[in-house]
Amino acid sequence: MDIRVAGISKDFGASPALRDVSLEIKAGELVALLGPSGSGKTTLLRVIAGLERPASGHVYFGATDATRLSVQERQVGFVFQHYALFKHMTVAENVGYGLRVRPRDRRPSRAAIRQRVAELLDLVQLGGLGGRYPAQLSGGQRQRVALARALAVEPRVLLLDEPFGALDAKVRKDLRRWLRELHGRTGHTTIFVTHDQDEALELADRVAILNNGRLEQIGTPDQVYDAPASAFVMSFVGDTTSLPAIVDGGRVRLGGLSLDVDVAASKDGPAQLYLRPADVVLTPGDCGGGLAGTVAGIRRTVAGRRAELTLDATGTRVEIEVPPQQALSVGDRAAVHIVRGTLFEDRA
Amino acid sequence: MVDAAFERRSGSAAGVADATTERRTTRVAATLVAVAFLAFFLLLPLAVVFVEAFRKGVDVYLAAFGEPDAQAAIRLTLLVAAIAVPLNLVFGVAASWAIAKFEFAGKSFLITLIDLPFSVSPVVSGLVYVLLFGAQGLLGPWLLEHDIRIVFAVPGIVLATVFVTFPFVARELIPLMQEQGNSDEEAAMTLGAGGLRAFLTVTLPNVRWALLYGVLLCNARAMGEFGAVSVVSGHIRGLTNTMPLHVEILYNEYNFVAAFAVASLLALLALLTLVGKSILEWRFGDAISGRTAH
Repeated sequence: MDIRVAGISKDFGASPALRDVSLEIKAGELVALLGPSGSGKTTLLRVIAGLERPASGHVYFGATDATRLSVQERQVGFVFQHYALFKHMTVAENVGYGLRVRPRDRRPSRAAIRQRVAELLDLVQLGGLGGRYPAQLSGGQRQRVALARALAVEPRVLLLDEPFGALDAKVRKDLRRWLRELHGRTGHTTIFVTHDQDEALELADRVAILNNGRLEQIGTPDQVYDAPASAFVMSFVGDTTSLPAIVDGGRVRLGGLSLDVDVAASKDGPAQLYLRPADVVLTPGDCGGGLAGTVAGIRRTVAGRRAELTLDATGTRVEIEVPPQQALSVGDRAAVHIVRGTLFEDRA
Repeated sequence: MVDAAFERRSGSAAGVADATTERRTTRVAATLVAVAFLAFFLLLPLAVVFVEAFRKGVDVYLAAFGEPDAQAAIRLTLLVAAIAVPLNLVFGVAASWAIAKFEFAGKSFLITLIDLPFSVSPVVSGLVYVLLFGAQGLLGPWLLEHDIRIVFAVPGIVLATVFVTFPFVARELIPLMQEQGNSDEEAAMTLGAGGLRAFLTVTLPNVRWALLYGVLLCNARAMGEFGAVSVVSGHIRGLTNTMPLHVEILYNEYNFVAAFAVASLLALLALLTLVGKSILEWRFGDAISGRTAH
């Protein structure tokens, strides 16, 4: 089912939660709503579900305008951040709830419900645990019960609010892969909210980035990472360092250097040059060329090491990836060569 | 998982104890003071009630209940509780549901209002009804005209009891429901359940033990209330005397054994309530206070 959100605005008291957000999600797509806390991503998800009413704008499910439909009528599968499992019901009763509360004419028989619940529990790899209570399950298992419960109602769209937020790193990673596989098998249109960029990039077909209630960009993981539409997207997705620079007649000037960076989109004047750790190369020693500086710190990362360099020219710090075998210690002199960079106008 | 959680809890408890431990003598002295205080002010009077009630033997004790006035008082107390408790059950659930699950203007005022019966002297609560419904009261003439008796009759006693026991259920449920939040109900609704269905299948089961606890306390107070009921009752023997009022009358007539016999019944009710309350706290303490057993 295609989902279209058109011009949604929503206020909580005086503070706007969503400002004129529009986006389209194609049937079968897996889309992440990514943003910092307070960016409006959860509110947008709840508006799509019908748990919040927008102040203005429309939500379309396929061709039908769902804006005025109640939560119950929208037939969405919603997985809450803390799962919201019914504590007094067994796992099987939780999963079957959506079928049991259907009006009599659409309610499956008891045997059919039992059958469907068993299938769903198998699908989420919890076969045989139907008789347990939620309190007897681990976090990852509860998460999967919540998913099975949401899938039981044959939802037109699956909405997940921070689906992995409450889990530890290892379980999170397994579940992520598993959810991707599940999506491949069931093909539900799925929207999930996350503040974790890794999660969004790894899992989603497309990522929508929200900030301050506005949609900053929606695109494939490659698009938002490699061609960020705004300084916010650039700095929120992936690690970045920014340096103050001046755009002057098609060149970028930075601390006395003139850099070879694409400036086609920029006006003359002060700007910020955004660099990914991989956009710069570090040469140890005072061998000239590039921006000279002093190593202020070195941190181990999962993939390698990351050096922090204080630049002589501007006093700012740049983070640079260095290979683990490169000899480097705090206080060493080094020079930075900027290979690539992305310019955004100086907002300040 | 359970073991780990247990270890963590006991570990932290030990840590706290280490940091705050007093000398042995201090601990013993503090415990002794507390126990002596309890014994003198609570256990001793309770024991006296039963000793006095049985002073002249079991026969005299039982005879106190054979008296028609005593029986009428017991019946009236049961009747009043049977009306007041269900009313406040419904009111308490409705009020806490509204307060915990919705945002509306005047919410904090409503919470304060629910507490009013706790802060107002029961005598004042009773007087309010006399001033409203009494012969000289605001609605008195109209009631007289239509031959409706409220004050100095059973309806007045029920009204006063309802007023005094107003907060018990609501006070128990509001913090719990607020802590639980809305997501269970929202989950039920996304799964297709209507509001009433969600309430019955999700909200109510989530608060059932706290609700029972509140009802228990409400019932104990409804049966034991003296002040407010005394003002509106008129003390008509066999008609508008509840058990506490009957105890007072007997006592004022120097009929100590009968007075203490009826009083012992009330004391027994109190003890039963305490036992019930303890069982609930011991068995479902987490569910009542809202801490989830995760």
